[in-house]
Amino acid sequence: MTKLIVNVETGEENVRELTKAEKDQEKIDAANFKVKFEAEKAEAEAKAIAKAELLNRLGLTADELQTILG
Amino acid sequence: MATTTNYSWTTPDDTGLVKDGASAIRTLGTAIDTTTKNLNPSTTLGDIEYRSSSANTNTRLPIGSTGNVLTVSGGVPTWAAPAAAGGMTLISETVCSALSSLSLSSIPGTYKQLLLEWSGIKFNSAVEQLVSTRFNNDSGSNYAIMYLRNADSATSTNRALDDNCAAYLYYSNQAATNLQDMGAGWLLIDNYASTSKYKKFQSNQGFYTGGANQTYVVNGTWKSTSAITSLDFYRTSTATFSNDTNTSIRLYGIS
Repeated sequence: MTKLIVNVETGEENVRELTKAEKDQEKIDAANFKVKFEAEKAEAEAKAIAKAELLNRLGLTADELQTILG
Repeated sequence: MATTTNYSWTTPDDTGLVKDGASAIRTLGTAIDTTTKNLNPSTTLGDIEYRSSSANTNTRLPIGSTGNVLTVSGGVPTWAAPAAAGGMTLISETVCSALSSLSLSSIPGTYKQLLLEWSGIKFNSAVEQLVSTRFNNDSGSNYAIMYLRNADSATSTNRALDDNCAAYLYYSNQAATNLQDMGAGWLLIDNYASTSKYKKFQSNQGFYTGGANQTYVVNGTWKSTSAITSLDFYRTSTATFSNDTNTSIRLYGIS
């Protein structure tokens, strides 16, 4: 749990352990990350399924659609 | 007495007497000397002259300082220092090694823009997570972002949201070993030192994860009027992040 703090004005570097508050924030960030990216994955999957269904109804492959779209 | 065409120097008349010749020559010589000096007032190495507001009288301009350029001020030439040139200054370069967090602090407010560049960001284990950056360690949902995400041309996402970070340096679920699989990108922050305006930023990031290359193009606004004095990098899991060989995180100031 190492944090590097660089003072860019002096070039001084300080390495220390994360504080309790920083560890707590890390947990919040991890939870937010999970929610955000799960939602994004679900959205992408839903789009992919909808696209596949539409192509199926049109009787086209993805490559054929790409050719039409140019 | 007759006079010359250009400088009106006095010369003897054609009908003048020979006995007046010495005086006439002295008068002419004095006039020529005075005119020549008025036209050439230089006294010192490097002096140049320019025409003054009086006819046939030049003004002496002493040489300027080293590096000066000749310019115009008040309708006359003058030496002056050249205008400051724009450019990028490397403020800091950091090579991460097994970090949980990183802070670039005490960023001077003397530039117009900040440019953060990174490459070779990798994790030490195959845990799905990301490394992101915040301004002044602000973890609130104060980053109004519009982004375009593209994954191997197959899936693209447009999204607008109030995020809690400015840019992803790396997002992956693997311990990358090849440089092309690691996080790389840039983040440009405009007017970062302002204490009265929100901060516009743009970024572009690319990385490899889940068997696909991903690209994020981000246009955002940090909804704070505070001057940005630190960039803070955090992770969202337990894996540490490092720079691969010959890579780093570089912060530039743009004048």
